[in-house]
Amino acid sequence: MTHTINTLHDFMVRTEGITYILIVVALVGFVVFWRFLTERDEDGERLGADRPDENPH
Amino acid sequence: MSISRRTFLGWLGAAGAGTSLGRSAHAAGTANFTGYPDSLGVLFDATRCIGCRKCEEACNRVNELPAPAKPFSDLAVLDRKRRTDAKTYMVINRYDNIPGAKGPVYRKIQCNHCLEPACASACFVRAFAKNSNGAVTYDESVCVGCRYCMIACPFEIPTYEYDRAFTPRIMKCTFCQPRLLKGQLPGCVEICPAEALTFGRRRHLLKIARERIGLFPARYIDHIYGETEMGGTTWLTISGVPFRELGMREDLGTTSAPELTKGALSVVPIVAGLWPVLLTGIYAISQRKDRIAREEKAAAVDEAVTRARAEAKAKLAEALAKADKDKKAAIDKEVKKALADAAKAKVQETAAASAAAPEKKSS
Amino acid sequence: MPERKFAIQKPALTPFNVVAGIIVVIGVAITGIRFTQGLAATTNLSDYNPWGIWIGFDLLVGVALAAGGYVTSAACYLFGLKRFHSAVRPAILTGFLGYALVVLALHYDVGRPWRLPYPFIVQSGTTSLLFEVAACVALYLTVLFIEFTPAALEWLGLKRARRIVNKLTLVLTIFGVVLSTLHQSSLGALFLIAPSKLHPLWYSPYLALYFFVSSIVAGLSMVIFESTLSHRYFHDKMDTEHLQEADGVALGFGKAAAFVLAGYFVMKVIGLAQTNAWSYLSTGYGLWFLVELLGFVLLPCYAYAIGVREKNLKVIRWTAAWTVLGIVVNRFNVGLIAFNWHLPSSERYFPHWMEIGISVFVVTLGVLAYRFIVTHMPILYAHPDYDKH
Ligand code: SF4
Ligand code: SF4
Ligand code: SF4
Repeated sequence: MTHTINTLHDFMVRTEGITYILIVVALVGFVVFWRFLTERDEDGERLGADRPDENPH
Repeated sequence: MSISRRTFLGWLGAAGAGTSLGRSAHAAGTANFTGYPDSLGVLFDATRCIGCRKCEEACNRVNELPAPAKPFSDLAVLDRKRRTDAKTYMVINRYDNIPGAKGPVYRKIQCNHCLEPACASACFVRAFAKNSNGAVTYDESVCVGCRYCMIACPFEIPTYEYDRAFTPRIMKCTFCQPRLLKGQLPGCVEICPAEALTFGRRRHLLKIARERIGLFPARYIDHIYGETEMGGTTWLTISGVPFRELGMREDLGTTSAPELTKGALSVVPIVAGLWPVLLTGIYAISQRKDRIAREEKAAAVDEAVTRARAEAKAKLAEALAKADKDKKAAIDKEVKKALADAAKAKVQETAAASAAAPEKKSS
Repeated sequence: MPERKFAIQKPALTPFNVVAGIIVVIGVAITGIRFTQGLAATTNLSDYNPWGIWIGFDLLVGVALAAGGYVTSAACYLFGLKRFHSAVRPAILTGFLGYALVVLALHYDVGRPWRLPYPFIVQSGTTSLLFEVAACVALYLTVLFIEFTPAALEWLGLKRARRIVNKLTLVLTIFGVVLSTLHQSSLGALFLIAPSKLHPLWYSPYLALYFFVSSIVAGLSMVIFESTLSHRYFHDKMDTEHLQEADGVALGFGKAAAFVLAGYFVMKVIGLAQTNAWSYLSTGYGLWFLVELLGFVLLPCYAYAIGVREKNLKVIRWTAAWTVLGIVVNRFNVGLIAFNWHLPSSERYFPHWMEIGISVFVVTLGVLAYRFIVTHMPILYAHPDYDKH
C-alpha cells in the first residue's frame, strides 16, 4: 500500500489526528501516573485524597 | 516533494535511530509539499475574455442552479461588480477605465481550487476534500454550517444559503468534478468562444502561461496569478493590466492556510503535555508550603508543650527535693531526738543503777 | 435536615422582572422565526460577512467573560490562595452559565445546529482551530458542570454524590485550566488563517497569546464586577465568610489584573514591532487601535494599580467594569470591526435588530438563571450542613 501524501493539508490531517489521540491518552495517563506516584504518601499530598480539612467549593 | 506512506512510517520507525535522525527531523519539520503532480487546472487569460457571459450560463446549466433574474444575454448586468453567491458559482465582472488598457477588461471569478485550500484547512468536519485531480469539493452531508470556511477563504469564494431554514449548504464551484470524472470538460471551459479558458495539467498550464508572457511581453503583466498566491492555486490567471485593477488581491502572500495555522495547532499538544505537569507542581508546592506551615505550627505547639512539661517537672523535682529535705530534716530531728532521748535514758539508767548499788552494798 | 429558608419572593412586578419578561417574550418570538425561516430572515449575515455578533459577541466575548471560573479555581486550589475561597463558587457558576449560553447561542448561529456534535462523532476536521475550540468548549462545559454540582447536590441534600465530586476537585481544576488555556487562545488563533482580512494592527502571530492573556484579565475583572453586583442585589444571601473575604478578593484580583494588564500591554506593543504595523497608527483604524490600547488596556492597568495602592475598592470596582467593557471592545474589533476592513462600507456588516435581540435574550437568560441559583443554592454562603474549610 503506497498511499502518497501530496499536500500539507493531508499531512496535517494525519499528524493532527494522531496528536489529538495522543493528547487524550496523555491527559488520562497523567492522572493515572500521579496516583501511582503518590499512592503511598500519607501526608495528604495525594491527588484526590479524601482530606477532611479540604472542602472545595 | 511528496512522501509516500511507507516513507512516512519509515520516519516513525527511524525516529530513534541516530543515522536518519537528521533527515527525519528535516523532513518532518520543513516538509515541503508541492501538491498532486497531475493536478488539473484552468488558465484564464484576461486579455482574451470578451465578457460574453457564456461561461456563466454554462455553469448555471451544468450545475442545475436556479435561473437568474436577468437572462445571461443581458450584459448590463456587468455594470455592477458582483461576487459569487448561493445561486451563482461563478461571475464575470467588467472593469472600465483602467489606465493603459484600451477598453474594458473582464475577469472570471470562481473557486481557484487552491493547492492547500484554506476552506479545507478551516473546516472542522472535513467537509472539503482536495481531490487528486485538483478539484476542491464539498460534502454537504457533514457540514454543520459554521461558515468558518467562508472566513478562511482568501478569495471570498464560498457562499451560504442563508435563506434555507433546514438544509442550508455552502455553495461553490466544484471544478465540475462530476463532469471531470466522466471525462468531460468543465462547463465554463467547454463553452468559452474566445479560448480565454485553457484546461489542462497545472504544470502544463504554467508553461503555457510563461510562453504567452514570454512571446508577448508588452501584452502581459509578468506574473501568473495563482502560481504562488496563498500557496498556489490550480486555476491561474494572466492579465494585461495589474491584477489589483481587476479586483484581485495582490497582498495575499505565498503562505498557505495550513502553514498559517500550523504554529498555533502545534502549541496545543504542548500545553496539554506541559500544563498538567506545571500546575500539579505548583499545587504540590503550595500544598507543601501549607504542610510545612502546619508542621511548623505543630512543632511550635509541641515545643511549648514540652517546655511547659519540663518546667512542670523541674518544679515537681524541686518540690520533691524540698520535701525530701524537709523529710530528712524531720528524720534527722527525730533521730537526734531519739538519740538524745536514748542518751538521756541511758544517763538516767546509769544514775539509777549507781544509786541502787550502795543499797546493795549496805544490805 | 435543617434547610436554610429565605423569604421566597413571588414573581413580583418589579421593573427588572417586567423588562426581563418582555425580553424573554421577544427572544422566544425571534427564536421561532430563526428556526422556521432561517438565518436570512433574522440576520444581516452575508457572503462577505459570514460571522456577525452571534460569533463576535456571544462566542468571543461570552467565552472571554466566562474565564472567571478557571482563573479563580486555579488561584484557590492550585496556587493555594485559600483566602479567595468564597469567590470560587460564584465564579464557577458564572463560568458554567456563561459557557452554557455560548453553546446555546451557537445553536442560533450555525446553519444546522443539530449537527453540532458531528466533529466528534461523524468526521473530525483536526486541522481546524475551530475543531480545537469546539472540543475544548464541549469538554470544559462538562468540567464546569461537574465543578458546579456540589452546590446543587447540597441543595438537593445528596451528600454522598457531593463527596465523590469533591474528590475530583484537583483533577477538574487542572483540566479546567488546560482546556481554558487551549480554547481561549484558539479563539484568537481562529483568525490566523485570514491575514488578508483582518487589519494588520490586530492581526498578529501572537493573536492566540493575546486572547489567552486577556482572558485572564477578563476573568479577574468579571469576578470583581459580578461580586459588586451580587453585593448590591444578593447581600442577604451572603454568609460572614463571603462578606469578610469579599474586599480581600477585590484587592487581590485587582492587583493581579493590574499586573497581567501590564504584561498584556507590553505584549501588544511588542506585537506591533514584530509585524511592523506602526505606520497604520496614523490612520483612522490606528486611532481606534490606540483607543483600545491606551483607553482599555493601559488606563485600567493604571487605575487598578491606584485602587490597589490606596485600598480604594470603589476605584477597583469601576475599573473592573471598564476592563470588562475593554474586553468586549477587543473581541468586537478582532471579530467584526477590524475584520473585513478592506471591504467598501456598503459591504460591511451591521447587526440586524433580531441578532441584537437574541444576544440580549441570551444574556437575560443568564441573569435570570444566576438569580434563581443564588437565591436557592448555597453559592454565596457555605451550606450549614457541610464542613467549613
Ligand atoms: S478559492 Fe477558496 S473555496 Fe476555493 S479552494 Fe481556495 S480556499 Fe477553498
Ligand atoms: S460551514 Fe460547513 S463546510 Fe464550511 S467550515 Fe463549517 S462545517 Fe465546514
Ligand atoms: S468549473 Fe464548473 S462549476 Fe466551476 S465555474 Fe466552471 S462551470 Fe462553474
